[in-house]
Amino acid sequence: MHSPVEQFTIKTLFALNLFGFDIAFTNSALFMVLTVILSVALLVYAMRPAAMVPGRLQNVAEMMFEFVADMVRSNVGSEGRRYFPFIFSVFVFVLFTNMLGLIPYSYTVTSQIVVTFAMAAFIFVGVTLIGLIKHGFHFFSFFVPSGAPKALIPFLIIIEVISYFMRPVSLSVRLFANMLAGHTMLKVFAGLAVMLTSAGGVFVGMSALPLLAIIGLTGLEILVAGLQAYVFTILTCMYLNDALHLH
Amino acid sequence: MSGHDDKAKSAETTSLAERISELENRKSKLQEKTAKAHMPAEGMALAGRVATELVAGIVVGSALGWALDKVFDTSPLWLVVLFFLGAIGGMMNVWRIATGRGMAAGYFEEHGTDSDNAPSDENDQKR
Repeated sequence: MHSPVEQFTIKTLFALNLFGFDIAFTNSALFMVLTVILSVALLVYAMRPAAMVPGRLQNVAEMMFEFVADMVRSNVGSEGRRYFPFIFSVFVFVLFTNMLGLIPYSYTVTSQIVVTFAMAAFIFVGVTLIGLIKHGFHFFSFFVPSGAPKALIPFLIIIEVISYFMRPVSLSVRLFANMLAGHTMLKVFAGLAVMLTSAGGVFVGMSALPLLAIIGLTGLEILVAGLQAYVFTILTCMYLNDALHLH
Repeated sequence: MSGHDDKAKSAETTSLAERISELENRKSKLQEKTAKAHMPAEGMALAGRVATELVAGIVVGSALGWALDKVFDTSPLWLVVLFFLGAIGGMMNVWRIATGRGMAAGYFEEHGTDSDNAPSDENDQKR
């Protein structure tokens, strides 16, 4: 019997050592590389004909592009156009890692907090730097709520600073926890089906129930995979918007 | 194209116009349907955000407090203080999300410049 969390173990595929740093090529790295190759391949291959009337694949590529473009336009505005390539890459990467993880025997890269936190921290630092470069010292007025009673302001500043530093944490934990919980749940139900079958007798018939549940849960997981990619991207847009337009 | 005479052409264009308008109708109906279908997914996204926001507040507050205690050797003063401040920050973010005061955490405008804020706030709350 496999443990439901065994699917998250990192396996070293081949060891690599660069200037004393251990940068072993793991199954996680393999699926990151696969994600990049597959997403680039899809976009390049789908847009090759660049037809006026798009075919199926071209439609997929155009829908993704327009979806993110709309998101950037409505959440950041025209100034966000410069950052569109980055936001689009984030969306496609998260979407593809989530979706690839749903294929049996594959590995879900986003179920590791290191990966999601690295992405969230990069976004957090980048967005803060954009804000600092654009507004200079004025950026710190972000932490002072206007119109609050004078006596409360020091207290509110501390809370605002804490809630600002919550951003990378909530951004990364949301994605990681959703993927981890979903995949664990799938494995638990699958394990239940196997156990019931091996128990024999009446239990064999009962094993259909967890099996049915897995079908439903897989659908739910596909929704969650897309949804979390969307949430990750839209929050990136919102943070960027905050940094670009201090009210 | 050059082989057609004017009559056939005009008949062709009118039928084409009909087909286009029919397609537009179907498209707008479909869009309405999909717009409705999006609602539960967006609700789920919001619910997930609220839950993590609460947890993240406490985690970040406690971590910050723990680090300050380590540096200043004042255990457990800052841990306790910042735990509660973090929890307050988390709840504040949830309140911000719930009232649609700009979904992003951070700055908000409570009493300032009502004139240009009022309509957008109304829109946000409807969402």
